[in-house]
Amino acid sequence: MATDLDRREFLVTTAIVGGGMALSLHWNEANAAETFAGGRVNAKPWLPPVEGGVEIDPWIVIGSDDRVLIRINQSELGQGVMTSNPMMICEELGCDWSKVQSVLCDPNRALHDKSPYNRLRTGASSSVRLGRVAYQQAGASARERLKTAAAQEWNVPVGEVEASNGVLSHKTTGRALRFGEVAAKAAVIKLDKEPAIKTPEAYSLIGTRVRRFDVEVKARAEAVYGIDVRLPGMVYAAVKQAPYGGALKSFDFDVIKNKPGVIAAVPMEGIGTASGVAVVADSWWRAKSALDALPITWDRGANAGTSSKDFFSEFRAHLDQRGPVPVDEGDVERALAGATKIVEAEYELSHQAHAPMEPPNCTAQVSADRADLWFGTQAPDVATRVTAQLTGLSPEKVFVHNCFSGGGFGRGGLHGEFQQAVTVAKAMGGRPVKVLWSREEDISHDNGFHPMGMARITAGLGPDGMPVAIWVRIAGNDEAQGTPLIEFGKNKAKVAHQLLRGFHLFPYGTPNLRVEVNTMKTMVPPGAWRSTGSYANVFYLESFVDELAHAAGKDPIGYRQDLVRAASPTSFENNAQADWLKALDAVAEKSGWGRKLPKGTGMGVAIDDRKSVEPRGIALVALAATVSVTPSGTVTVDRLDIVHDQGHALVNPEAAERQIRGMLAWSLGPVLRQKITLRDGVVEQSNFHNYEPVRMSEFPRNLTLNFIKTDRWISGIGEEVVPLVAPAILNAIHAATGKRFRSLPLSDHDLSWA
Amino acid sequence: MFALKINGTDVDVDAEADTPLLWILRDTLGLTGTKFGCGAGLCGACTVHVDGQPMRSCTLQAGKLAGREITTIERIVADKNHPVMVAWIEEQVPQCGYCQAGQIMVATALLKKNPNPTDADVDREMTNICRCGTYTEIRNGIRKASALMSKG
Repeated sequence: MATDLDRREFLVTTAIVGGGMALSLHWNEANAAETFAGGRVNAKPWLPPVEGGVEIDPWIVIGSDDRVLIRINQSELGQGVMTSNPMMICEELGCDWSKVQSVLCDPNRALHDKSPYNRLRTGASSSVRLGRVAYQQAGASARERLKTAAAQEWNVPVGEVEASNGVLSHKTTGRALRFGEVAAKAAVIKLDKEPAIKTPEAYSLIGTRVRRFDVEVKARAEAVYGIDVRLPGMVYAAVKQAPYGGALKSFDFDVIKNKPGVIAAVPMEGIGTASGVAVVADSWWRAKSALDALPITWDRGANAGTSSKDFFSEFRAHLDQRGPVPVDEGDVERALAGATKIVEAEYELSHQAHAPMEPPNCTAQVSADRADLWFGTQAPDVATRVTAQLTGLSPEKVFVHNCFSGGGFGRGGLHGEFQQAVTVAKAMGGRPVKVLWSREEDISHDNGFHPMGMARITAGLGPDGMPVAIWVRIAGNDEAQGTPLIEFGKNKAKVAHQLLRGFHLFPYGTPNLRVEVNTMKTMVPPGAWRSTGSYANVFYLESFVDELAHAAGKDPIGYRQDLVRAASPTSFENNAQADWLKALDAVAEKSGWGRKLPKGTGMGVAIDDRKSVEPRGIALVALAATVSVTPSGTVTVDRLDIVHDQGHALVNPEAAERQIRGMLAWSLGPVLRQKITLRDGVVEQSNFHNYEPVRMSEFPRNLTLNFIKTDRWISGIGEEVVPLVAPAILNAIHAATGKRFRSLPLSDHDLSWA
Repeated sequence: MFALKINGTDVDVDAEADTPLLWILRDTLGLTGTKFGCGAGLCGACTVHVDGQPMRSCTLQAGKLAGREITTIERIVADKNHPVMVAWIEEQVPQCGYCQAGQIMVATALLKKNPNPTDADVDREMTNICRCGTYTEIRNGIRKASALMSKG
């Protein structure tokens, strides 16, 4: 592949930067091994740092120099999976950790070899939860095969061979062989039975602080994200998509065809919400400039006059009538009629965008006999399948090269960019094309916004302040719009499971409980957004229970504990009832709950365990926020104290802690000022000035992160904190100002209190 | 056609003069360490140094930069012992890593001007967006780099 273009790029780069860096910008794949021989991962993560070696298992390759290459069937979004997956395998393997490397696996191979890579998705915090046992087993099996190979070599019982630090040894005779010396032999050995895997108390690598393999190539600015891929002859495309509910009517290419570098304008149709038009040119800036000058007529469709407030009106109308009732215990209406005090509140949440720092992009090359895609994606299996459909090629002829992702957050590569790249590449006659969205296109066409939703909750309190009845009514978009609803409860109520999430096992005891869930549909396509259904439901419940505590005149932490104690043990997955009480105690202690605070400063709390209607384990998290509000209404988040479930073990606490801290920053934006709204069918926000994430100065320096050990494997670490941030802060603002806010962001509200 | 001085080398660029510097770096010259984040000078992912000052290259018209010294991340990290880069590795700053070249460029300029920045200085100067929320680690990285630099 050492084409002339490659060489030209190489030389330009050399001239400019000089020295060793030039090599890292020379993207000749054949030379990649030589360039990155010392690294843990290749700057192009879909390629191994070093070619060659013996495949012991589809996940494990051992080199003659004892290097161990671990193939990763997830995507690297910054969560550290290229390090934590190898940790789980190497925990058992007995190799030398300093010689371990990793590579993102080839999604194409999953088509031929189903067992190892049967789960190519990255999401729902699932990499450890769904992978660990298989990874440990792969490591243990490979170790036993290496031991068997050595035992055969020495003609000794395999039980006398030990594997440690990449060396197989026989104590009584003092003989030793390196992994690399027996790898070829081990590769053909089959075990009679699978070895047992370690239980947590025996771990020596899992649970230790390990430097992440991908950090160095990222800190050296060598890491190749989808946007950085350059191919010989590559052209660039900028795109505009139809307004939601609309379609492309016409465009006038003649107006732009003579602009510098312009090659073509390609209509993109039949790819759902990503349909629109692409302008292709010899550089992206030229493509974008020409696109901006291209006269386009959209058929804006039936939703041209629809705005977010119309959706909220429609949702609210559903809250006024009876909806499907997945949870119905006791007689809520009768109990409410006899209550001492009624508390009712209505909450609403707008859409949110993902806005990863790397704008959506995909580079594609399509010829008569194969299709290649280069981009960072959380679902290379989907990309493979859909590309096959779009090209008419068989899936075996589709090759997805999974790049580093510049953020994922649930969107990662799922919502239109690769479909567009394939569509445009088909029109380019075998030439590779990079489709890249402007930030404006991203924020106005995320194509998978966090669903908007509403809830109205009514409770009746008894004379002791405890709830005699709670009635929850929800109306929201289903993030998986179009997939079948589930049937839940004795009424077999048809609901979207993410809209019910958390309310299906109600952690706060009340003798009469009704939950109604209205699964709404709008023309705005929703999708998975970090923390999914918990985001809305924890906001509703943890805000409301705080309102109840105040109505009852009780301390919010003590009141929650009273309610947890009043609940049935069967209302908790994993016997977590006692853990909820402990987590609330712990967050009170760590945050200094109840201490005297100056006027305008307040503390708030929230707790959740991420349980899902389709059980996938839990991770219990409690968060206390301390905020101060100036009399004129400027809010500062002063301090956050987190208590986080670590279950039996965190694989790499180093990575887990960073994700948790990062989630706090991610979640602050939608509390303070981020929201996505539509006016007349068009998204009103467009870039980071009107959809502005938090910056460093707004992120509290005063943070404590406290792990609690529990008797379970936790559900995950990648999104569990997100839903707690909004209710904890809003509850703190109430404590600080007396003002209760039931919608986000705070920039919509007047916080002044003087 | 116009001339630019990038990382100490004069280069002739064949592009429209109003092309933002970012796209000259990335698409014309293949210097992809500098990242596209917003195209409107809002996020800082595209930060380079122009005459030593951190500037957002997505809103700089390349044709107006004749005679200016442009430095990109590639030149900074070509020094394998660069204190900011070393600190970023030591403190394990990046998560997805996409914004970090821009963060390093701003941090490098900050430390040059002010080798011992206070938290308030860091808050004022480090305005680039990180969606992974690595702000704690960036702050630690700057402290570490400052310490490395004072050791010389």
